[in-house]
Amino acid sequence: MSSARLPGIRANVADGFEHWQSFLRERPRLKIFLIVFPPALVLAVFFLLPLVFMAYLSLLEGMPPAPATFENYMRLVTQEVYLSILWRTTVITAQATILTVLIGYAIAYSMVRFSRRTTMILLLVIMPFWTNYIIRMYAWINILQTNGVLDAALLFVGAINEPLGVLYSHEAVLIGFIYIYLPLAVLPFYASLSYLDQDLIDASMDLGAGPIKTFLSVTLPMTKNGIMVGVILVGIPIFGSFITPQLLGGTDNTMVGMIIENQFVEAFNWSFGAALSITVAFIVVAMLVLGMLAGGNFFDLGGEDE
Amino acid sequence: MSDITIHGLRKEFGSVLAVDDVDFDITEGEFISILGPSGSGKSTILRMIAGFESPTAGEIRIGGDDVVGNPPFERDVNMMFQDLALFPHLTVAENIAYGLKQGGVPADEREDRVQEMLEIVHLEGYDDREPHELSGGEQQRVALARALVNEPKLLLFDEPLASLDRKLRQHMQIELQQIQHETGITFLYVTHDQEVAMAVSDRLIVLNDGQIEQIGTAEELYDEPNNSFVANFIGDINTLPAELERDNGTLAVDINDATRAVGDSYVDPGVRDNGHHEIDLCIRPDDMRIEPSTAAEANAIAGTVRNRIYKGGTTTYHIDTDVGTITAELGSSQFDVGDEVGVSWSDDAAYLFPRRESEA
Repeated sequence: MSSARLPGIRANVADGFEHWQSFLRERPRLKIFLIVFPPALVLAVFFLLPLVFMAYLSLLEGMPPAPATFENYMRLVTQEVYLSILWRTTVITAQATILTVLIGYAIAYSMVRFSRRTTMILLLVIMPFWTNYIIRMYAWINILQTNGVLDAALLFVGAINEPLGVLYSHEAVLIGFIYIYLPLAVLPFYASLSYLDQDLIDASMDLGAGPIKTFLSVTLPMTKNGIMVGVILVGIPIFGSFITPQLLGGTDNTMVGMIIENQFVEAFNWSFGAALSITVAFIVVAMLVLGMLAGGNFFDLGGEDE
Repeated sequence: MSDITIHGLRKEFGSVLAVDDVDFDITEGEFISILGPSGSGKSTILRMIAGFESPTAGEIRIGGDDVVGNPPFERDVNMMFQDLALFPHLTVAENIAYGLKQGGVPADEREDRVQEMLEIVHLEGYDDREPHELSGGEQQRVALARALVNEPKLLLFDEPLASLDRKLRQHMQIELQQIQHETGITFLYVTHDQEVAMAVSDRLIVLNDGQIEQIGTAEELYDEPNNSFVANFIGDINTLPAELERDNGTLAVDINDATRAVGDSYVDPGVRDNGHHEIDLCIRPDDMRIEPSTAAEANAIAGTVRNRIYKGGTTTYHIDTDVGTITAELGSSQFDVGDEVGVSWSDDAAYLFPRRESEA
């Protein structure tokens, strides 16, 4: 008998649905609220709240409840060691980001312009992600250490006479960063270069611009937003990273991420760690704003096409 | 000596022969079109002249010099692309000035010439707009101005009007012609649209399967086609497979194994002399006559009116006969669907061509 009643229920459900739809159609602001609210809630609970808590922690003398103080920030700006670590972190980040972006752009460019096996190469670019980060770092230790794979190979071909022992140096950290973050640069560059219409390149050549001028006045400006995205995806994590410099860099290449980790895990000075974190976040946001002011739009990979 | 000479031009893509030993000349100030179905190789010819493809063999002489091997940016040729290829990150004025800038023209002279161009294409005051803010027709004008401003020896067009609606296209083609007269620049226009090509060109090159079928003015191609492909491509034509017989020196044509056509005035570009037996008998729809009788006479076929399309000034009839459907275009609309009629033609309005395998 239930089957006889089903059409009626279905009709009711359909009616109700339609009613609900028209109810929403007449209330566009409620509709937008319902769409925006759930993700906003997730962001608030998992991102904004921890950030606020971190800022709160950074203004306390110790673990709460504790009296408020500005001491953590004072310590940061008055002790030269922290400022020099921040500066060194900025320099390493800039160097690694620039190198990664240059290499990544070259790879993406050749994938789009010259290669017929783009999918295969794209797969090769993504493949390192399948292996754990730490394992890949230990692989690099093996390659870079004195009399490691690199030294053995260079000695074998006669390029060097003495082992180099690149490990535990500034260069080793740069190599590690470039290796880890290269895919994150290649992907947005690839996306934005493949949006670029070959006819625009042809048109530029047709109007008298040689390959270099064409690259500078068409290809580069048209992929500007993709480059910005790559810079952000690579630069931000490098600025805060601590494992790579710890494993490949040794004691001379301390980065701010290592100090923060140390404050939370070993020194148990959470308040100072929080102050450092907030400072790092502030620097990153300041750089993003500068990038925006310089005319970048990080959310549009496809150039300025409609 | 012609101003632009294409000689023995050939292009192979792997085992595919796209352009097969093409020769033609263009005179300075001429508006010439390459007309052909898609895949006929016309765009490839254009891209070889522009320098985007290198020919397998042949010469491209522009003002006397063979430019084969020169990159596009060293050729005095500009192109208007099918999708226009306006630079989306530059303003209208910057787009137009792009070529001048590459040529090292000083800024104030660039400015003057951009203004002059904007006037010619009727876009005064559009300097600072961006391409995406413009309508399709306005974008066409910017693309035209960007190519024209460099005053090239030859301006190439790769079907740039294809994306416009009919009205706008007709308007733009009139304007193109005017601009060409004003500037005196040589235009080479590639299209599959015979209407556009016939309307604007001084001469047309009909291309098929990478080979030139015929070169001539629109009138020449329509009135004196070399072969049934040209006859079919330039205007409509009825093609009847036939066999050529010769009795007592008079010409007789068998259609469907019966002698249906007799006469000595058939337009014959060499079928009789070359001894072709299997031929195509081609007659334009407006050269067809329809008579109420179905009597089998010379130069006539009996049939039934399948449908009629009233077009105002004329009426088009489709008539089913035992040799296929024949199209006739008449000034009167006196016949009705289902009428038994006789379709006839006079021998001097019919063409005889060597038989071609039809490319449906």
